[in-house]
Amino acid sequence: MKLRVGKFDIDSYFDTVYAETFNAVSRYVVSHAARFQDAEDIVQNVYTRLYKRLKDKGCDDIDNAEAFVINIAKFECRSFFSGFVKRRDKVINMSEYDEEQSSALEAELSRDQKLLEDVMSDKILAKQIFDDIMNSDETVGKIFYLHFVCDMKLDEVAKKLDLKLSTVKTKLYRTLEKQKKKFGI
Amino acid sequence: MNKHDFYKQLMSEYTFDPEKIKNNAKKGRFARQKISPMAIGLTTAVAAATVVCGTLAFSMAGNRNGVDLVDTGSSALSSRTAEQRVLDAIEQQNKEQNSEEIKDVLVTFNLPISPAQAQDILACYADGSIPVTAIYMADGSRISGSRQVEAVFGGSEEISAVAVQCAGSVMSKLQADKDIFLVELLSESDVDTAVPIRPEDIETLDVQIPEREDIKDDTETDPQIKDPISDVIVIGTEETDTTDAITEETADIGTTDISDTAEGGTNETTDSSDDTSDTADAPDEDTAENGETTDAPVVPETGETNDNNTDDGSADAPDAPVAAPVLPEGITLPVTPESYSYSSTHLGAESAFFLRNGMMYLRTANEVALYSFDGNTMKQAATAECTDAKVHWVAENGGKMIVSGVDEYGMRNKLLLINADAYEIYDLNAEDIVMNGTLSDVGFNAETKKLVLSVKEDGVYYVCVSQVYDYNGSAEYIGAPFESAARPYLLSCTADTVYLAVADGTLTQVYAVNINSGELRIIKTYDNNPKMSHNLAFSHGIITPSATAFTGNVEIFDPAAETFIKTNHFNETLNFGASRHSFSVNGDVYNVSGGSVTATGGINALAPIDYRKSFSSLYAATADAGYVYITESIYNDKNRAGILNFNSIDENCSAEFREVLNGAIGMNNALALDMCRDAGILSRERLLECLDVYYSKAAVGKIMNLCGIPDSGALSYKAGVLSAINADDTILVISSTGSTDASGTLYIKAGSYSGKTAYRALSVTFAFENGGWKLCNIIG
Repeated sequence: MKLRVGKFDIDSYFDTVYAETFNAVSRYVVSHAARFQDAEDIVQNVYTRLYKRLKDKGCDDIDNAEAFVINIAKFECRSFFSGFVKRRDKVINMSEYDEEQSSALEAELSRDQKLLEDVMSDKILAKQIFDDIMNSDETVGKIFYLHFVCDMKLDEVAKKLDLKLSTVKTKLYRTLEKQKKKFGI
Repeated sequence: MNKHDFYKQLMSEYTFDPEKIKNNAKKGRFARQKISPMAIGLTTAVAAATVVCGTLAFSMAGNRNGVDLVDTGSSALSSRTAEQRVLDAIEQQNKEQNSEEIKDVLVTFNLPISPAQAQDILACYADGSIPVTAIYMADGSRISGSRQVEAVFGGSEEISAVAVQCAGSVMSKLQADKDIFLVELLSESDVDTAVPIRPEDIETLDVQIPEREDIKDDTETDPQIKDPISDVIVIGTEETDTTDAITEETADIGTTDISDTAEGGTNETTDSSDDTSDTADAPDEDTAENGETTDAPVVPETGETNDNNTDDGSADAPDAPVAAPVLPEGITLPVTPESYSYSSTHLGAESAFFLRNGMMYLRTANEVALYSFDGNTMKQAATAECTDAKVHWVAENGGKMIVSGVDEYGMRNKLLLINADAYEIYDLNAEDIVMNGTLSDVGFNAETKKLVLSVKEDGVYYVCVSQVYDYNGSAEYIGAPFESAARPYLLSCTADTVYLAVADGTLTQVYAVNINSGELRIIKTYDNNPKMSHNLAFSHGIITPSATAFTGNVEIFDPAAETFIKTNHFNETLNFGASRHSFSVNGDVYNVSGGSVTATGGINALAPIDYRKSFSSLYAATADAGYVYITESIYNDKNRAGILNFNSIDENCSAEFREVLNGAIGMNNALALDMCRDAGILSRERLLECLDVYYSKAAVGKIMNLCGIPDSGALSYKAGVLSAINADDTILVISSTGSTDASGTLYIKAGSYSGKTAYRALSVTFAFENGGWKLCNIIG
């Protein structure tokens, strides 16, 4: 995407880029941020930096807006509350799920439950469920976001997050089980 | 709804608020300011607007007061003219000189300065603290209130003045600071209404500083005092002002060859000759200017004092004419003074060098630090934890450098910008870029201010580029335009291109990588595994034949034309030091320009190469066994301004000329080192007697002027305007001798450069006066 825009077209250009890149950027940020809870702040900074850049220098030299924004995201992920120590100290020590358990949980994910619509419309409860995910292990939120929102398969999520597939499954399924007990969903 | 869709919707709605993000972005709102300067050290201990002061010793150069200049009155500052305020301020300083009572004081700086500089200046002049009650910003605004003041000191906006509370006695000390224009008392009514005046507000000020109380009687009748505004006002302690004024009127080798031949080169000898001519031609004028009665030499009685000449080099002077004046009895001149040296306490120093005059970099095993040095005291100005510090860049003219350090896991991921000009050390937050990896190379190009990092993480090398701004610790990440499984060797960069080399075991490819797009171009391929590196300035790559190669040439990569310049060297190390375009090899200096290498010379080219001892014109530092040792810098102004002779020279003068020269050096040193009284010269008359023994009348007049020796009869002069010389470090070559004059060249040892001893050359003349040879030049 390369648009020639004048001074007054910045907003429309930004809006277009924003709409076209938001998913990619959020996916990238969730994958690379040291902490999932920082993801929104990082995305905020990515687009603030983009907007500032457009204002200062325009967009004539931006050939590929998505690549450009991802480049900014890369910097922001590296800069924002550097996760160096946390990532280094990260310890995975959870029991693995066998194939049978995995299949059962996957099947449950696909089964319709009317209750879930009611839960979703209860903003307070929905937020509590979300916060419960956020307050889990720092990678759990990332796994949920990448798997459910970005439609990435678990092996892709594992690769993206540099985790073993079994670890991803364990974290996902354990959280689902925990939420089932805690919130009755 | 199934659980999959439930979580999809839940995570979509609650993870991000796209509208809020978009709106905030358009308003320029960041969630967090990532990179901020890290102020370290003494001056950051500012709390609640109190500047914590150090213990730098300060001594007034002399009593420069004692004369009631004006009626100070009690009117508000705002109602007085700038001139009146200056006069009042000086009078107030005089009156408060011995007062320990705490006063409200307005301190106005010569120029708007940064808050850090202001703190640093104020911190030098009190043992305890100086509370800052208000700040006058460069834009004319006034900030008061402890929280607001504190905020200003944490920022970077320039300050033109500050209102402080300090003992009255501190006023005159502050006034003596070269960066402070005026120090005024603030009355209660002034606190909220006073506005600082600027130096340009003063229309007529001629500055003169009486040096001693005993001059006071003479000056009381001086008409200057009766009309202080239009003529003379006693202000501050700017001795150099007076010196400069005198210097402008005086033509002599010792001073004009410094200021007039800044370009060095061949002018030095020429100028010296010209000066010599001036000196020789102008004795009558000088004598007249100084007054016949006071300048008339007092020829001492001859006879029994003849044996008490200089303590060095005078014993072999049997040919001295009988009628010539001799050194009075009891005078011992410092002909071979000890050279300056200073040693610190044990600081654990592993490396130390001056980054600029008065400020040195010091590295210990776990820290880097900046220390100020005033000739007597070393004082820490800033420090930062930095294990195993490694220098990656040093500004060509000094003042700033970048070092890296390792963290507690042994990973090299810390990058510090050391700014001696700002007295601070900033963290460039490289950990944010390096993250889990480690720095394998760092290049910073001062011309483009691009900081290029090669980072190894999880077996992959990333080349990351940031833009540095203003050397205050702020940097903006641009991107990672290059990544490779093989190690990239950084060579250089321009505004938009990074040059690097990657070796795959058989071939070494040199790439040009576009910083913004990551687009690659191969610009050269080597098949002999050369060693790839870059100079500290990151302005040139250096390609050296591999250790196993039998032939080849060291090549220099010049990014300006993307050319590889072959040198005549095979396996020698090209030493660029901090220089961008010059290097030394085997004691010779070369310059890279326009795609070629040409021989060059002069210590101005050598200075940045030899940066560890060149950034101060006053001192050089070395570290040994944890101590810092400081000596005089060989890269002083005189050596920089002159052409140095690296050839071996033999003295050819007679003992008679050597004796005169040694005596002249002794007198020069007595004045330069403030050792007249130590030498036994206790009066102005005796000083003239001694000078007359070795210097011509014209030269004596010039020395009197240069050193500000007054006609009043008291022994008073300015030390330090001459430079001391060790007679043992001189070689005198006489080229022509007549019955009344002789001329030649004085060579003064100027230190060792690239292993070669250099001599600074001065043209000298001797005149036969009063029965003996006299030196006609000022040599120090």
